[in-house]
Amino acid sequence: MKGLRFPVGCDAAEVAESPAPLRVRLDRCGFSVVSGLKKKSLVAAGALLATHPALDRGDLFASVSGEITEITDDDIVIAAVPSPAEGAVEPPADVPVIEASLAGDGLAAVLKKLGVDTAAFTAACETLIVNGLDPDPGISWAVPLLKSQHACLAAGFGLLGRLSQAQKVVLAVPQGTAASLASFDGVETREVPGEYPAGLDPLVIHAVTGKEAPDNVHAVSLHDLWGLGRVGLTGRPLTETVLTVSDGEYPAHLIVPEGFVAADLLELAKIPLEQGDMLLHDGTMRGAALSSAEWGVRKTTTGLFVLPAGSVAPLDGASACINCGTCVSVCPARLSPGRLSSYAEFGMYDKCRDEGLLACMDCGLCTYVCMARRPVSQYLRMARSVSA
Amino acid sequence: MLLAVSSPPFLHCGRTIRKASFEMLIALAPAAIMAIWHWGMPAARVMALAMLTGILAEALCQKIMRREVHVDDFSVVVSSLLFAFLLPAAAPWWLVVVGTAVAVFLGRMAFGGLGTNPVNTALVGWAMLYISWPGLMDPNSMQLETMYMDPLVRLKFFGASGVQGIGLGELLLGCQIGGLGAAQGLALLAGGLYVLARGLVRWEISASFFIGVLASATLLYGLDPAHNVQPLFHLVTGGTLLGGFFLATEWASSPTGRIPMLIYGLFAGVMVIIIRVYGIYPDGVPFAILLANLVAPLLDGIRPKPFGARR
Repeated sequence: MKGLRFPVGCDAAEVAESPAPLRVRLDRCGFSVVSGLKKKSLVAAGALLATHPALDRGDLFASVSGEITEITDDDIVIAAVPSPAEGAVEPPADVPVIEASLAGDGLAAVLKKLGVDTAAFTAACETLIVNGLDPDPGISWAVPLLKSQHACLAAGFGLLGRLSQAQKVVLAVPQGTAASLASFDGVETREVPGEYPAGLDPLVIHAVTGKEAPDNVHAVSLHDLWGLGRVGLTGRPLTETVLTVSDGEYPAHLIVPEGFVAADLLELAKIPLEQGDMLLHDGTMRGAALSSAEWGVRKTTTGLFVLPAGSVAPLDGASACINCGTCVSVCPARLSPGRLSSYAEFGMYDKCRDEGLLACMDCGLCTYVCMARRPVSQYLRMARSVSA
Repeated sequence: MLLAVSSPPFLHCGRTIRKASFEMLIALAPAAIMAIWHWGMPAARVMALAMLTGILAEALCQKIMRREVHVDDFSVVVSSLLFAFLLPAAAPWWLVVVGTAVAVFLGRMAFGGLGTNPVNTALVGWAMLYISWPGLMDPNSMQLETMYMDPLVRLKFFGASGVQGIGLGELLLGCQIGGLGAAQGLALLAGGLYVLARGLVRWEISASFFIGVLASATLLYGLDPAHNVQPLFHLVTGGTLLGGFFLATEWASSPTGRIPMLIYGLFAGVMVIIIRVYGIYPDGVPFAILLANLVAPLLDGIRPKPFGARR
């Protein structure tokens, strides 16, 4: 978008495997730990640690071999064992196998047991679009992934074809990159122009199909497809994520074992973290702030960023809308975020719905440009949750 | 170690109200300098007094309203300076004070502060003064020790032949009687292009305003060249440049949608010419913009359907 400045994007062309961590902290909220697992248990990489009750959520596996040092309600911490030692564990023997005949729900059930969240892939639709654009400013692994992980993505597409009911699969890539990318069998590649928020699913769907919010079209992220392909290629459970870790100038795209502690990852990337800084996981516009650097990354984490203290003017909750109209000029959903946020501020949620609140894509651009530093996105989210 | 936690989005473009006000003041600086160049210390005095009165008036209002005093965002300084630009340089001190106070009270604070006024802040003050003390607000009767002429007064009372000899170039350079800042055409043009480029004001309003002015002036000139002046004359005289870049584009009083902005600007521009040619006032810009401000909320009702709404 003209005039908007985001952290510098990436020139690093590749996605690299990160060094092995010395410890991992795996998030196990919502999972039930397998019986027999306790502190001091030795586990091999790929061993089943906990199961999730939902049929479309992948189970939790050890991302490194080592000894369990902590099991709490929220996480499981494993201290890595760097080399085979006495009492070393055998690799897990009961890893499910993806048989060639499996498809649809049967395949989804096996993939769940291999750690893959399958909800996105099995949604009913006629056209499935793989969103190969960077989802958020600062995250820039899309093109490096497409360029350097072709085999993995091809395996992903293969599994996707068997999982999904879609008749047509389209891969959306950033404008100007299709020529330099190898194609995938049975997949149409389409270029989509623009920077953020062009990478948002509703806008990618619009760019590819020419229609706004069409029925029977569904989008999945390239990141999820990579995870699917990783399982297809290695036959082992999914225990890694691809993320961009950046200090704003020098990004690195890494394949990182799940549970890699944020503090360790920052140290690896030589990014300092000081008192009062903000530590973000996923993106800088739609991600979340971590309250501590001791949390580990998840399978779904797409980025890790540090916003130094004082680099962004703080939100002002008591600030009134000055009706400058800047938010109106940047909103991709053609709404008036200033007006909607004022309605929400005064509890007029019905008026919010009447004026298109549900079309909001939660891109955050309104808050990005707001001169009065109003929490516009926050008001809109509140209005959406109240009126839902 | 304590980390800061917030909710997304975490980035911000960096532009606050205060920074925006500074950029507006930078844009207005060339016109202020040219005003002092042409009119000397009296112009400087009027501008300084207006800005000071504006700051005090807003602070007083915010105190009475039991709100946090926010004069440090400098938005009132911008409005006060714009108001000063409309005054004759020889305006008496009490006129400046009363006008700025009315502009701030009625043109902003009575409605709730920055961003809430239905009509342009500076123009509210100007209109009140103009109706109450028309002699003192008319630069033609106030600026006596000068060789310059007031081109719009001459046009009104002597017709098109009365302004034949006045070159557009000298009008652009401010060699005319008018508001102390409004007359500085070239400086305002430079400032206006700056705020347009910086995205501080909406190009839709400025462009449609100037198109409205030029199109209607061209039409009238084409129909009757003997009694009308060439269109560019209307652009460089009176408050046209000031109005098109800085007054019609004020955030609070202008619409925010694209089509509403285009209609609004066009309406204001056409009204400028209609008032100048058929009305009793020499300059139609302030009243044209005030009228457009009144129509703005209605125009803002023209809204596109949100993304994904069935057509």
